[in-house]
Amino acid sequence: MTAACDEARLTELASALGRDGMDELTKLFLRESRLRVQRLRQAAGSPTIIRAEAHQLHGAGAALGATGLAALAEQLATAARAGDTDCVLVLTNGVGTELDRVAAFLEHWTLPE
Amino acid sequence: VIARRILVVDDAPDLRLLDRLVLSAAEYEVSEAASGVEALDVLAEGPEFDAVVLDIQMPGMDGWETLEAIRVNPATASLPVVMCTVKDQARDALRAWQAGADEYLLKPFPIGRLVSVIHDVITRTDDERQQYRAKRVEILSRLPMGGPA
Repeated sequence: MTAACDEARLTELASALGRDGMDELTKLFLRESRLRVQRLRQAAGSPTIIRAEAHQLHGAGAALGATGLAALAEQLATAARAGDTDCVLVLTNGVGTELDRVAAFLEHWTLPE
Repeated sequence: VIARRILVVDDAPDLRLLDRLVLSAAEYEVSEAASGVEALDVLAEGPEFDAVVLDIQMPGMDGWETLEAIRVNPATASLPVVMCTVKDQARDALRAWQAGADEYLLKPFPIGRLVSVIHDVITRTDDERQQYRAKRVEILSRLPMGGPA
Protein backbone atom coordinates (compact mmCIF):
# COMPACT_ATOMS: atom_id res chain seq x y z
CA MET A 1 0.00 0.00 0.00
CA THR A 2 1.33 3.45 -0.91
CA ALA A 3 1.98 6.07 1.74
CA ALA A 4 -0.99 8.30 2.58
CA CYS A 5 1.03 11.44 1.88
CA ASP A 6 3.78 12.39 -0.51
CA GLU A 7 6.79 12.95 1.76
CA ALA A 8 8.55 15.14 -0.80
CA ARG A 9 5.60 17.54 -0.76
CA LEU A 10 5.46 17.54 3.05
CA THR A 11 9.18 18.25 3.21
CA GLU A 12 8.79 21.11 0.73
CA LEU A 13 5.99 22.58 2.82
CA ALA A 14 7.78 22.15 6.14
CA SER A 15 10.96 23.70 4.76
CA ALA A 16 9.04 26.75 3.57
CA LEU A 17 6.67 27.18 6.51
CA GLY A 18 8.78 26.04 9.46
CA ARG A 19 7.65 23.75 12.25
CA ASP A 20 5.02 26.12 13.70
CA GLY A 21 3.53 26.95 10.31
CA MET A 22 3.41 23.30 9.34
CA ASP A 23 1.73 22.34 12.63
CA GLU A 24 -0.86 25.08 12.17
CA LEU A 25 -1.51 24.03 8.58
CA THR A 26 -1.84 20.29 9.20
CA LYS A 27 -4.13 20.83 12.22
CA LEU A 28 -6.42 23.13 10.23
CA PHE A 29 -6.36 20.78 7.22
CA LEU A 30 -7.39 17.78 9.35
CA ARG A 31 -10.07 19.73 11.21
CA GLU A 32 -11.55 21.16 8.00
CA SER A 33 -11.32 17.85 6.15
CA ARG A 34 -13.15 15.98 8.92
CA LEU A 35 -15.91 18.60 8.69
CA ARG A 36 -15.97 18.16 4.90
CA VAL A 37 -16.39 14.39 5.25
CA GLN A 38 -19.12 14.96 7.85
CA ARG A 39 -20.95 17.31 5.46
CA LEU A 40 -20.50 14.79 2.62
CA ARG A 41 -22.17 12.09 4.70
CA GLN A 42 -25.09 14.41 5.45
CA ALA A 43 -25.44 15.54 1.83
CA ALA A 44 -26.86 12.39 0.25
CA GLY A 45 -29.06 13.44 -2.67
CA SER A 46 -27.51 16.88 -3.01
CA PRO A 47 -24.97 16.74 -5.83
CA THR A 48 -24.18 20.46 -5.55
CA ILE A 49 -23.04 20.14 -1.93
CA ILE A 50 -21.17 16.92 -2.66
CA ARG A 51 -19.32 18.51 -5.57
CA ALA A 52 -18.39 21.57 -3.49
CA GLU A 53 -17.11 19.52 -0.56
CA ALA A 54 -15.31 17.05 -2.82
CA HIS A 55 -13.69 19.94 -4.69
CA GLN A 56 -12.33 21.38 -1.43
CA LEU A 57 -11.03 17.97 -0.36
CA HIS A 58 -9.40 17.53 -3.74
CA GLY A 59 -7.63 20.90 -3.58
CA ALA A 60 -6.62 20.75 0.07
CA GLY A 61 -5.56 17.10 -0.15
CA ALA A 62 -3.40 17.81 -3.18
CA ALA A 63 -1.83 20.84 -1.47
CA LEU A 64 -0.87 18.73 1.55
CA GLY A 65 0.49 15.89 -0.56
CA ALA A 66 -2.39 13.56 0.32
CA THR A 67 -2.51 12.27 -3.23
CA GLY A 68 -4.81 9.28 -2.59
CA LEU A 69 -7.33 11.45 -0.78
CA ALA A 70 -7.19 14.07 -3.54
CA ALA A 71 -7.73 11.42 -6.22
CA LEU A 72 -10.71 9.89 -4.42
CA ALA A 73 -12.23 13.33 -3.88
CA GLU A 74 -11.85 14.14 -7.56
CA GLN A 75 -13.58 10.87 -8.48
CA LEU A 76 -16.32 11.70 -5.99
CA ALA A 77 -16.93 15.08 -7.61
CA THR A 78 -17.12 13.38 -11.01
CA ALA A 79 -19.58 10.76 -9.72
CA ALA A 80 -21.77 13.48 -8.18
CA ARG A 81 -21.75 15.39 -11.46
CA ALA A 82 -22.82 12.22 -13.28
CA GLY A 83 -25.59 11.53 -10.74
CA ASP A 84 -24.15 8.11 -9.87
CA THR A 85 -25.49 7.79 -6.32
CA ASP A 86 -24.11 4.29 -5.70
CA CYS A 87 -20.64 5.44 -6.66
CA VAL A 88 -21.02 8.59 -4.53
CA LEU A 89 -21.83 6.45 -1.48
CA VAL A 90 -18.87 4.13 -2.00
CA LEU A 91 -16.46 7.01 -2.66
CA THR A 92 -17.72 9.01 0.34
CA ASN A 93 -16.88 6.04 2.56
CA GLY A 94 -13.55 5.68 0.79
CA VAL A 95 -12.71 9.33 1.36
CA GLY A 96 -13.47 8.96 5.08
CA THR A 97 -11.22 5.93 5.38
CA GLU A 98 -8.43 7.59 3.43
CA LEU A 99 -8.66 10.72 5.59
CA ASP A 100 -8.12 8.53 8.68
CA ARG A 101 -5.03 7.12 7.01
CA VAL A 102 -3.76 10.64 6.21
CA ALA A 103 -4.38 11.75 9.80
CA ALA A 104 -2.42 8.77 11.16
CA PHE A 105 0.41 9.46 8.73
CA LEU A 106 0.64 13.17 9.60
CA GLU A 107 0.56 12.40 13.31
CA HIS A 108 3.77 10.41 13.04
CA TRP A 109 5.48 12.31 10.24
CA THR A 110 8.51 14.42 11.09
CA LEU A 111 10.75 16.49 8.87
CA PRO A 112 13.78 14.39 7.83
CA GLU A 113 17.10 15.53 9.36
CA VAL B 1 9.93 49.73 3.32
CA ILE B 2 6.17 49.41 2.82
CA ALA B 3 5.03 45.79 2.54
CA ARG B 4 3.09 44.84 -0.56
CA ARG B 5 -0.47 43.81 0.21
CA ILE B 6 -2.03 40.67 -1.23
CA LEU B 7 -5.67 39.55 -0.97
CA VAL B 8 -6.12 35.75 -0.95
CA VAL B 9 -9.63 34.63 -1.98
CA ASP B 10 -10.54 30.98 -1.40
CA ASP B 11 -13.50 29.26 0.25
CA ALA B 12 -11.19 26.61 1.78
CA PRO B 13 -9.76 27.92 5.10
CA ASP B 14 -6.74 25.59 4.99
CA LEU B 15 -5.81 26.68 1.47
CA ARG B 16 -6.11 30.34 2.49
CA LEU B 17 -3.84 29.61 5.44
CA LEU B 18 -1.28 27.92 3.19
CA ASP B 19 -1.18 30.92 0.83
CA ARG B 20 -1.00 33.33 3.76
CA LEU B 21 1.89 31.47 5.41
CA VAL B 22 3.82 31.25 2.14
CA LEU B 23 3.32 34.89 1.20
CA SER B 24 3.90 36.19 4.74
CA ALA B 25 7.22 34.33 4.82
CA ALA B 26 8.12 36.31 1.69
CA GLU B 27 7.23 39.49 3.60
CA TYR B 28 3.96 40.25 1.90
CA GLU B 29 1.10 41.56 3.99
CA VAL B 30 -1.83 39.21 3.45
CA SER B 31 -5.58 39.61 3.90
CA GLU B 32 -8.11 36.87 3.31
CA ALA B 33 -11.60 36.58 1.87
CA ALA B 34 -13.70 33.40 1.94
CA SER B 35 -15.89 34.25 -1.05
CA GLY B 36 -16.11 36.43 -4.12
CA VAL B 37 -18.60 38.74 -2.44
CA GLU B 38 -16.35 39.15 0.61
CA ALA B 39 -13.39 39.84 -1.68
CA LEU B 40 -15.24 42.67 -3.44
CA ASP B 41 -16.21 44.13 -0.05
CA VAL B 42 -12.60 44.01 1.16
CA LEU B 43 -11.39 45.63 -2.06
CA ALA B 44 -14.01 48.36 -1.77
CA GLU B 45 -13.50 49.12 1.91
CA GLY B 46 -9.99 48.09 2.74
CA PRO B 47 -6.57 49.48 1.97
CA GLU B 48 -5.19 49.37 -1.54
CA PHE B 49 -3.97 45.94 -2.58
CA ASP B 50 -1.10 45.12 -4.93
CA ALA B 51 -2.49 41.79 -6.18
CA VAL B 52 -5.24 39.22 -5.69
CA VAL B 53 -4.86 35.43 -5.53
CA LEU B 54 -8.27 34.15 -6.65
CA ASP B 55 -9.63 30.61 -6.50
CA ILE B 56 -11.91 29.79 -9.43
CA GLN B 57 -14.31 27.21 -7.98
CA MET B 58 -16.17 28.75 -5.08
CA PRO B 59 -19.84 28.48 -4.12
CA GLY B 60 -21.98 31.55 -4.82
CA MET B 61 -19.96 34.12 -6.72
CA ASP B 62 -17.17 32.07 -8.27
CA GLY B 63 -13.74 33.20 -9.41
CA TRP B 64 -14.94 34.01 -12.93
CA GLU B 65 -17.65 36.35 -11.69
CA THR B 66 -15.31 37.89 -9.15
CA LEU B 67 -12.66 38.58 -11.79
CA GLU B 68 -15.27 40.15 -14.04
CA ALA B 69 -16.45 42.40 -11.18
CA ILE B 70 -12.87 43.42 -10.46
CA ARG B 71 -12.21 44.26 -14.09
CA VAL B 72 -15.37 46.34 -14.65
CA ASN B 73 -14.77 48.48 -11.56
CA PRO B 74 -12.50 51.41 -12.53
CA ALA B 75 -10.97 51.36 -9.03
CA THR B 76 -9.71 47.78 -9.44
CA ALA B 77 -9.65 47.33 -13.24
CA SER B 78 -5.87 47.21 -13.40
CA LEU B 79 -5.29 45.23 -10.20
CA PRO B 80 -3.11 42.15 -10.91
CA VAL B 81 -5.08 38.92 -10.42
CA VAL B 82 -3.60 35.42 -10.18
CA MET B 83 -6.23 32.73 -10.75
CA CYS B 84 -5.84 29.29 -9.13
CA THR B 85 -7.61 26.01 -9.82
CA VAL B 86 -7.30 22.25 -9.56
CA LYS B 87 -8.98 21.90 -12.99
CA ASP B 88 -6.35 20.89 -15.49
CA GLN B 89 -8.18 22.09 -18.59
CA ALA B 90 -6.69 24.20 -21.35
CA ARG B 91 -10.09 25.78 -21.95
CA ASP B 92 -10.16 27.12 -18.36
CA ALA B 93 -6.69 28.57 -18.77
CA LEU B 94 -7.74 30.23 -22.02
CA ARG B 95 -10.90 31.57 -20.40
CA ALA B 96 -8.84 32.98 -17.53
CA TRP B 97 -6.44 34.82 -19.83
CA GLN B 98 -9.30 36.12 -21.97
CA ALA B 99 -11.15 37.33 -18.87
CA GLY B 100 -8.16 39.39 -17.76
CA ALA B 101 -6.17 37.15 -15.42
CA ASP B 102 -2.49 38.00 -15.04
CA GLU B 103 -1.43 34.46 -14.21
CA TYR B 104 -3.04 31.06 -14.03
CA LEU B 105 -1.80 28.57 -11.43
CA LEU B 106 -2.69 24.92 -11.31
CA LYS B 107 -3.00 23.53 -7.77
CA PRO B 108 -1.01 22.15 -6.11
CA PHE B 109 1.72 24.51 -7.19
CA PRO B 110 5.32 24.38 -5.92
CA ILE B 111 5.58 26.65 -2.88
CA GLY B 112 8.14 28.97 -4.43
CA ARG B 113 6.02 29.36 -7.55
CA LEU B 114 3.33 31.41 -5.80
CA VAL B 115 5.91 33.87 -4.48
CA SER B 116 7.65 34.24 -7.84
CA VAL B 117 4.37 34.69 -9.70
CA ILE B 118 3.20 37.38 -7.28
CA HIS B 119 6.53 39.16 -7.63
CA ASP B 120 6.26 39.01 -11.43
CA VAL B 121 2.69 40.28 -11.75
CA ILE B 122 3.33 43.13 -9.34
CA THR B 123 6.47 44.34 -11.08
CA ARG B 124 5.17 44.20 -14.68
CA THR B 125 3.89 47.41 -16.22
CA ASP B 126 0.32 47.53 -17.51
CA ASP B 127 1.62 47.24 -21.08
CA GLU B 128 3.76 44.22 -20.17
CA ARG B 129 0.79 42.58 -18.48
CA GLN B 130 -1.40 43.07 -21.55
CA GLN B 131 1.28 41.70 -23.86
CA TYR B 132 1.86 38.70 -21.58
CA ARG B 133 -1.88 37.98 -21.51
CA ALA B 134 -2.29 38.38 -25.28
CA LYS B 135 0.60 36.01 -25.91
CA ARG B 136 -0.95 33.30 -23.75
CA VAL B 137 -4.35 33.72 -25.40
CA GLU B 138 -2.64 33.37 -28.77
CA ILE B 139 -0.80 30.18 -27.73
CA LEU B 140 -3.78 28.52 -26.03
CA SER B 141 -6.12 29.41 -28.89
CA ARG B 142 -4.13 27.05 -31.10
CA LEU B 143 -4.88 24.05 -28.84
CA PRO B 144 -7.84 21.69 -29.34
CA MET B 145 -10.41 22.30 -26.57
CA GLY B 146 -12.21 18.96 -26.41
CA GLY B 147 -13.39 17.01 -23.37
CA PRO B 148 -15.93 17.73 -20.63
CA ALA B 149 -16.11 21.19 -19.07
